[in-house]
Amino acid sequence: MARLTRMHLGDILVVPIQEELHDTAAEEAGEKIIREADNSNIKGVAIDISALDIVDSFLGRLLQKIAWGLRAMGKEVILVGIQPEVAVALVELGLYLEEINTAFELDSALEKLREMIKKGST
Amino acid sequence: MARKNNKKEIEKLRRENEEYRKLIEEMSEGFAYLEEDLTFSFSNPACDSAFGVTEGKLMGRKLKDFLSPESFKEVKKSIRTKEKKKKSVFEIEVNAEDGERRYLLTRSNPRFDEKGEFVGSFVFFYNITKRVKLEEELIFERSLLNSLLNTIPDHIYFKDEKSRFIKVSKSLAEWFNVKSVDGLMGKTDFDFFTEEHARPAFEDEQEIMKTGNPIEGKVEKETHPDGRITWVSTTKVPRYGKKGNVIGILGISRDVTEKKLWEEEREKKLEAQREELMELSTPVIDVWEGVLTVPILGSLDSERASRISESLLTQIVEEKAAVAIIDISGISAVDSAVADRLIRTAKAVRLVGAEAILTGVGVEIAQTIADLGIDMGSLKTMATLKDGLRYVISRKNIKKEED
Repeated sequence: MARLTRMHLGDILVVPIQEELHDTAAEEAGEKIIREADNSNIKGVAIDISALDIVDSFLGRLLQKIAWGLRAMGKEVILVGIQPEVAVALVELGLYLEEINTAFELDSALEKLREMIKKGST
Repeated sequence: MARKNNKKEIEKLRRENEEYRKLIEEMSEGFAYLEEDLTFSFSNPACDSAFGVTEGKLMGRKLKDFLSPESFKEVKKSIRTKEKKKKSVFEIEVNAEDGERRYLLTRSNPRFDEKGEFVGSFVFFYNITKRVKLEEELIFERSLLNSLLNTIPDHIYFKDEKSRFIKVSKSLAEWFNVKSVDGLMGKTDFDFFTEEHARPAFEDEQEIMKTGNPIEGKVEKETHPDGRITWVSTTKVPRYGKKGNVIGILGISRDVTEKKLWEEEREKKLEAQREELMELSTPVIDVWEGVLTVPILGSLDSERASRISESLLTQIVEEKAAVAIIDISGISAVDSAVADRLIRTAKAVRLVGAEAILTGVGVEIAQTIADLGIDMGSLKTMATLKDGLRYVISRKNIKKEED
């Protein structure tokens, strides 16, 4: 299985997804993210998918599931770098991911995420 | 006794003579005797009718009267030969007195005196007018065909049942850079084109011969061994033999390379123009730092909607815009399909990381949207573009104060 890079930036977990993930690999990656977020004092998770040109309905739904899971655990989530083609494809699939925040790039994502964490804690 | 015998002998001779005379008179070939100066001194009825005169009226007439001066010169030479026992056969063209023009195959059997001088000739005439006329017709038609094959710039070709050339136009030989049309005889398309064209053309021809269905005006790409590519418009029809069986095909191909290239050029230009028009019809305006606006004018079909999405999303990512205002005050009509497209665009905008605001939603459009039962969901909408801009700017200011 492909290695999944994870970075801790303070209380934020950053997960850049570098390649297309299919089926079990994707599910395993999802599980890893959730476990990683649970095992530490992580307050927010940024999932960077800027490297992906294609997101199929399976991966789209999985991202949604991960977000819901993290939310249920009280963590903030942000999706980073959704490419225009990917955005169009997701919308066509009816996956609006409305409850998940988005950002162009990691910088603004971290900024937004910190804001969200601050708001959540107050 | 002797006298009696003599009488019998004479009677026998008379009867024989009578029979010869009858034979000559009833012969279907013309028979005549021409004197030294080529005057008729005897002729049978068939001969009279060939020259178009009443029976028995040819006697005393001159052959010269029925021939053109040039042809008479030739004929005179042929008949008045000095070579003994030389039979000569030739054709003459007779201007018969009944107004007809007849062709007579003539066989002259010259007669000579003791000194070997020509004294006259027994001449047979065979009427070959029909044959000659048929030949003339054939020659004429052949000349028509040849002029067609030699001058028409279109490529004309006759092929046998194995798609081998059996007759072609000069233009086709030139097309193949072959000096003479003979250089094509027995050859096939495979000798002059690459497989890419020769194969489908061969298959077309076999199909035509199998079904009898012609091909009309098919535009074909011709691939030459030297890499040249040409285009022709081709019509091919089956050729039938005497028994009605298919014996090959007849084809005509017109060079349309220039037209094709021109069409391609035009198509390209048209496509470029269309694209330009599309760009123009979906301008994304960078109105403020981090704020993009798309005014949508006219009607919104699915192609345009996807183009708007595409260019807006690309620009948002490129410019890292925070807000995209989609102004629909200029839109001609909103139905459920249009509303759906707008909502999809707005949601895609949010997914890439920007905020979408829909402005220009007037009373009418708002009512339509409500009537259609469409939920705009979390999409932010404003009545006018001005409102939208004001909202964005005030929020920016708030943010700045916070910083």
